[in-house]
Amino acid sequence: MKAFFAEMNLARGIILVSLIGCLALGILGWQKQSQLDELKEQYSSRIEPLLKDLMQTAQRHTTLAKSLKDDSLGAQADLETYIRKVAAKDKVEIGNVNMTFTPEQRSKTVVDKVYRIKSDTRDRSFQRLRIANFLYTLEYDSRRVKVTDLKLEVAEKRPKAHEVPADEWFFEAEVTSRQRADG
Amino acid sequence: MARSCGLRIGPRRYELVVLDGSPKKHKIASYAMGELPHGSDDATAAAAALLKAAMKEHSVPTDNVGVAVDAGMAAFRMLKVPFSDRAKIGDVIKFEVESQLPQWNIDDVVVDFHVLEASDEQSELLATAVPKVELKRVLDLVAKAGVEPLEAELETSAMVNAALASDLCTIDNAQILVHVGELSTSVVVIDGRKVREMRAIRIGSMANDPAPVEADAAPAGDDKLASVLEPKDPDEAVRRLEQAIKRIRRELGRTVSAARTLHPIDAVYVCGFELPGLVGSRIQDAEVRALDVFQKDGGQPADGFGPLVVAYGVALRQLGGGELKPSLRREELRYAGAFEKVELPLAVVALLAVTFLGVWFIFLTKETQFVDSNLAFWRNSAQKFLLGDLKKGQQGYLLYPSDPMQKYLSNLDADTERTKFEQLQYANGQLKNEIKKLEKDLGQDAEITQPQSALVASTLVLGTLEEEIKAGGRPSLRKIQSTYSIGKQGKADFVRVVLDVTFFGGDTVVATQNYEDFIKATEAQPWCIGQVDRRPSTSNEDGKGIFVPGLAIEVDVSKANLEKL
Repeated sequence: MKAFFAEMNLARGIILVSLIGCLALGILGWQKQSQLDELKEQYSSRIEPLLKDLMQTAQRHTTLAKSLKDDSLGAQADLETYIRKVAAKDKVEIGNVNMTFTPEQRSKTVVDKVYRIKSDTRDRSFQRLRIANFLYTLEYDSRRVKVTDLKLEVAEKRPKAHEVPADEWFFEAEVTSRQRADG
Repeated sequence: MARSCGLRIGPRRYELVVLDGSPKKHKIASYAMGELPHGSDDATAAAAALLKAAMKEHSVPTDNVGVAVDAGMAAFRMLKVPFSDRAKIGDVIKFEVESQLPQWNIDDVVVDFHVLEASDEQSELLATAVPKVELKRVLDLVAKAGVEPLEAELETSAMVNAALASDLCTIDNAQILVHVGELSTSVVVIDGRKVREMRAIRIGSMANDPAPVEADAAPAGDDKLASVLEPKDPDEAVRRLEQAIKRIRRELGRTVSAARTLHPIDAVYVCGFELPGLVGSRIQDAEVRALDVFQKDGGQPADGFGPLVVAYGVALRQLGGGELKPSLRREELRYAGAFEKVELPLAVVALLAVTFLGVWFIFLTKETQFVDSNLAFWRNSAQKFLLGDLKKGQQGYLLYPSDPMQKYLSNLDADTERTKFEQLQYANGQLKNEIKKLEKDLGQDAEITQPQSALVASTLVLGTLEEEIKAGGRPSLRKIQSTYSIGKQGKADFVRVVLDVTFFGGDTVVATQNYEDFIKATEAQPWCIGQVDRRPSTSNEDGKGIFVPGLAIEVDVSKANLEKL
């Protein structure tokens, strides 16, 4: 090697420069070839499935984001406020309700936030449609709320079995929102 | 251990010495000498074959061989130049010596030089000129034998190197070194270990041999000099040899008398061909001795070592020793090793290779750009699909992206670390992460399942009851209780719906039939778990219906088709 440099001439210079150039171009070419192979594979077989998946993902994202936006509970500070708001809604108009909160730990990470709902006046009865609207709206306006216990009883005292009672009902319901323990 | 070979190729004979060791301490590993075929048409080929066989037999290190040529073919000239830089001297030496070599065209000779004295202002040089054609003949001969000599020199310099390496020459005496060759005799004056003069006398031991020795007349490797001098007429041979010796002695006498040395001449040392009566005699008061330059027990022959001195000097120089560094391999006769021979074609091949790789790289770059632009089309389409096209007033399908996602998708080109495909892959991944978060916020987390709805269960049961009304039945509900229960012992979650209900009819039979129809219809539903817990009924007071208290139905809401609701 020493002799190679000691007697440097044009041919040796060309060999040296060419070898360095070959090495550099070889490495760069190999990298470029790998890049090209990858791009070709992406273009020929992977881009279409990805785009289909991306379109579905985007639509799912939009649906969920819209649901969250429309979720009344999401906008409320807590479940109790949500229930009271629903009770005061048009076509519901249950009025003031009494609520008893009972958290129930389902597991280390999951807790059920349970509210027992009763009319604030013991003798106050409601039409079945109003009660149904109330309970339906509670579930419809938030996917995180479920009516887990429901008791409907005719308001008329001891109607005879052959009598058709009036459409006035007492109700009692239990609403549960299952959440993460930290939430 | 280093190994070298010194060759002397004379007009009629060759000598070969292989040295093992270092310049200071070495030993002759093997040696050979013999006659070279000459005079016939294929003499060169035969001589090459002879040399090749000799070198193979003596395991010559073919990568470290030097050669000494007959000094008789050279011309020696003294000259002065007004500088001492060797590179400069090398540049001008031919020009300087040209006028002193009228017998040759300066382009036809190789000129080497030895600096005899040097000061800052001037240098005294001993220039040696050798015709290229003669030198090339020797080099070609050795090359044909399969060896490319690294260097070539004259017998004189090889002899000086051999003598200076021994303890013959000291700084306080002078010597005259003589090498008797076939057709010439080389003479060097040494004074205080410095070369003072070199010359070649064109008389050798075979100078007057009228009849060339036949190639097969003497066996190869034979060191019997007598055979060389053995003409067909012995008396004539003796007479001619005596004449040669006389002439050599006369020339040596002139040299001794003309020598201007600072120190007294110690002796005349003779090597090469042995001339009868020369060693042991005196020339101009100087004793003639055999030039024995070999180390003690150095592997040289006990007798007849004289012819090996020059080859030994060459081998010593190849081993890294020797004070003189003459170089006759110059210009077109410069040593060209295996690599040198192929370096030009190799340079062309290397140039072609780099050109080919360059073109290949350009094509790859162009093709990569093309595929990348195709991917860009897909990516930009996806971008428009997601975000829409504001210029055209088109809304995208991703209506509520997070701020980072909006920012990323709006400026995909800013992400230079990913390919266009990877950008979409990344965006898809990020969107999926956001979806998971949204699902959690919406209570659709796969890890958290919301309880079953008692309202839905009641609706399912009452829906079945309503079907009975459509079918002509007339139920009247008194009470309904619907309670969600968590499944235990591997059982799924369910809702228990308990009804107090009156079934009206024309009579109790019809009412009971309605009740049974309701039970059957309920049990036929996919959400109904098992069978309905039938309760005993009581007839109404008017006998037109039955009252069923505590009718319990277990409902699995997850199995219901909620789309119908």
